[in-house]
Amino acid sequence: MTLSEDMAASNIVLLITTKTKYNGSLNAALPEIRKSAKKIGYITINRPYGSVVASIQKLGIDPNKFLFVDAITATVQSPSQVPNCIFVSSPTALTDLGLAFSSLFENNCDLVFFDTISTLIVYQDIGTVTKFVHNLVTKARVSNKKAVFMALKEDSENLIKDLNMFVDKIVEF
Amino acid sequence: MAKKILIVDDEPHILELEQGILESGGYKTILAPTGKDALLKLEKEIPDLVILDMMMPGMSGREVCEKIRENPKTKNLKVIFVTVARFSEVGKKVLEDLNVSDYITKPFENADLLNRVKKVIG
Repeated sequence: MTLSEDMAASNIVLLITTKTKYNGSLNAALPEIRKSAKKIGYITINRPYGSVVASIQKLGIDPNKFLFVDAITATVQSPSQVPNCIFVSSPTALTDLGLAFSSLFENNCDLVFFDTISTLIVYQDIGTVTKFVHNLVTKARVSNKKAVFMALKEDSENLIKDLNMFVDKIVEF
Repeated sequence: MAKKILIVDDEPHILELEQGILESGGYKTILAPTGKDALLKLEKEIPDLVILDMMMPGMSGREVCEKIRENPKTKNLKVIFVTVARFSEVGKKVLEDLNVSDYITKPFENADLLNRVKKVIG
């Protein structure tokens, strides 16, 4: 089964990869994700918006099909406002990240891709991250939309095991 | 003799609430605010049932349950999960693998908690 087929069959997907495979997995996943939705919300918490847009363009994907949430740029500089990106002050601002997640659905995104959820454990304990992700999953289910959470195995096996409990599909990529 | 239940939850008001409900049903209770504390308490005494919050800081309910199953003294202990989460089919399979007797979703009715406990330990 391809990732886009998995996403067609499941609303909430946990995409597991490793640090060494991260770039390759992302490059393989993004075209599949693009196929699965008309408009995509992309939440980035470890690469700035500009870098994400550049890598999407390199893959030949139109970044205008995306709406972005960047929670990393504002930790190092004051971001210039752009029409297709919501800047969140930091990955520790979970309330703001949650609101930004909701606003992606309110702005007609059919699918939200979270890159990379396991990075949050640098800032929060696993229990807090699990509760936060569960809250996002609930928002996606209530809105009848799709969400794909990318996680790195090395960040926390325990977080991945806990997240397994409420996602529809786990894909090792 | 009253059956003994270990309640594990990081939220003090939930601990107190469950304690009140279960003691009104004739059960004895032991309280643990963290997974680590629960495992320490299990080294001292083995209850008839553990009621385990799924999402706790530090060690999650799933992780505590794994430790319970790994320990020969507690591996057959009955466990009920309490959770705000809606488990997916994948999650239900994990519960099966952990040999969890039942799970209750928060918020719950007092009678529902008591009925489920009675079903599991009588």
